[in-house]
This record gives sequence, C-alpha cells and structure tokens, in this order.
Amino acid sequence: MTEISVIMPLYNGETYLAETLESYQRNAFPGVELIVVDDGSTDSSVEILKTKVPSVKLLTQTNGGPSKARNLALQKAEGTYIAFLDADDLWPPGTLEKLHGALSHNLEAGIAQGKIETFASGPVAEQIRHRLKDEPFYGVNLGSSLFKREDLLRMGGLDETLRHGEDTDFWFRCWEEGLEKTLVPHITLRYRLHNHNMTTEAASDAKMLLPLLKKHRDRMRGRTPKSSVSLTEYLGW
Amino acid sequence: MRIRENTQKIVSDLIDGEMMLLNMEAGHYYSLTGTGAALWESIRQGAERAGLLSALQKAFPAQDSQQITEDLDSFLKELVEEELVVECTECANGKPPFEGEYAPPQLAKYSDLQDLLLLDPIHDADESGWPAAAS
Repeated sequence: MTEISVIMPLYNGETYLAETLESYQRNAFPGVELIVVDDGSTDSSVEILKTKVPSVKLLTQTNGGPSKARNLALQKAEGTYIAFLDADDLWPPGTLEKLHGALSHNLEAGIAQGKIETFASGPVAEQIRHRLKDEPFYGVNLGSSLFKREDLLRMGGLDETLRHGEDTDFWFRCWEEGLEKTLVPHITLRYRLHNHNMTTEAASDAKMLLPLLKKHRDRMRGRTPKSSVSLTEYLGW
Repeated sequence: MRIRENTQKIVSDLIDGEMMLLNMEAGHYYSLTGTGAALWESIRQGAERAGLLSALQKAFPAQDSQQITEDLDSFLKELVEEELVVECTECANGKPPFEGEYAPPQLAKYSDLQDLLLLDPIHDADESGWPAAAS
C-alpha cells in the first residue's frame, strides 16, 4: 500500500536533478512512490531520472506547465499523503519521516508544514537576491509540506490557469477552507536560488498577485474564510 | 491637472475583463467597475480631467452631462485620496477606450489581506524556459 506519493514536475532540469533525486532517495521509505511528470524535456533529465530512480512512475505531457503537471500526477497518485518536490530543490534527511509523523498523529490537521531554508547555487541575479533569507521560515513553497490526497482532490488541485503564484493561490484556498495545519519546527525544504529562477522585479512580483487577489475576492463573495486566524498567521509569517 | 498611475506604489492590470489594482505600500487592493476600467486605461499613461470628461460626454451623448461630471469628479477624488494617482506634467494625455452602455466609474476597495500584502507573498516556483501553459 502506498503511504506517500511524491510529485515532481520536470522540464529540462538536468543541472540539479541528480542531487535532488539523491535527496529524495535519502528520504524515501517503504510505501513512498515518486511520480514525475516530464513536460517535454529536451535535455538529459529523463535519462538521469531513470538511472537514479528506476522505480519512478514517469508520466508525460507536452508543455502544459507545472500546475497541470502536478495535477496530472495527483490523479495518478495512490498515496494517502502527497508531497511535492521541485527538480532543483532538496529535502534534508528525515524530512518525509518528520512530516509524515506529524500529520499521521494529528487527526485534526490536513497539512504538516516545515520550514524553508534558502541557498544559492552560483551567482544569483540582483532582482531575486532578496529571496535569500538568513533564517529558515514558513513559506508557500509546496515542497516544505505534506498534504492529504483526499483534501487536494477535493480542492481540485492547483489552479492551472495561473502562470505564477499557483502555490500561493493554493494556500489562500487552504486558508479559506479552514484546512488545519500542524507545524514541524524543522527545515523540511532547501530551496535553491540560481540564475535560472525566474527573474523578476518587485513591481512585476506584485503584478503577479493581481489574478490571485481577484480569484480570492470572487471566491469570498458572500462568505468568510473558515480559518479562525488571519491569512498571515495561517501562513506562519 | 494631469494625472497618471502612481507607479511607485501601484500595480494594475486587466484580469479577465476586470481592472485590478494593488497598493503595495498600503496593502489594499481595488477593482474598478463601470467606466472606471476604461478611464484607468488612459490614466495609467496620463490623462487630464477635461479630456476624460469630454471623452465621456462624446461616448455617451444620451447620458445626463451633469451626472457624468459628478460621477467623474467623485471617481477622480477617490483615486487621489487612495494615492492611486499622482500629478504629472510630462505625461501622455490618452483617450479612454469606452465600450457598451454607460455605468458610473466606481472604485471598490478591499483590505481583508492587508497584513499579508505588506509582506512579499509571491514565491517564484517557475524555472527559466518552462513553456507557457497552453491556453
């Protein structure tokens, strides 16, 4: 029986993929499966993947974007719990065990969330350098958390119409639905900053929020969020 | 007086046909409805009250001119009060692209996410070169 399905969208990720897969393998235990959705990679990503993790469930789509990839994997996942890992990020050893322990022992909670530590690989563009944080923090990157598959399916997965900020949008919806979280006071994701991260400026960052705000406003017409805390508190900031 | 979008504090965009604005310094977000969205299209680059008024009157000749004037002045006053616009001298003087029937320009203000919006909630999960999602 599958306990945890780990979902990874992949597109031309050969630079960091091997390191990411090693961190996955250090975390995997019996009952953990890896589902990768390749979005039409033209580099050696798929070969690296098959060599490093022969048991991988490999799905393909053509240029559908990361949200669609995650949703496709979600439909095929069999695990009671779902974790997400991007092809360039890392899980410290023991991450899955800690998240799984926290969530499976807290019947009220739908999400176990740990902290994110940022690190740089090579020079980081000036525009995104502010994302390098001195201290680990609770953030919106899905890779730091473990979810229940039934909740994700009920909520319809990630919003495929969003090109950016789909993870932030997802947390908005978890908060609106009152999905309880249990916090794990450990680093559960090492988030890599590198020059292939999307280059942004502060203003365009903010502009990406506009579709999320409109969607939130539309959903909240005539009702209030079910969570008892503010969204900021909910996100743990 | 000529005004334009207060780009130091504001971002705005047309989202699924609705003009949305975010005041990054104050953490409020806004929606412009009625003729407000088209007016904002001009104001973004720069616009004069007199030019906006004559464009409204020309686009909606059947509409009571006095009412149009009052609606516009009340709208512009709100934009100034909310610091969504600043005065400018060397900016464009655009003409708003009105469509359909007249509806008073209105500004709806939302403050429910203020504490969050004063932070930096966007995580750049994307990678360079990820193909655009098929629309």
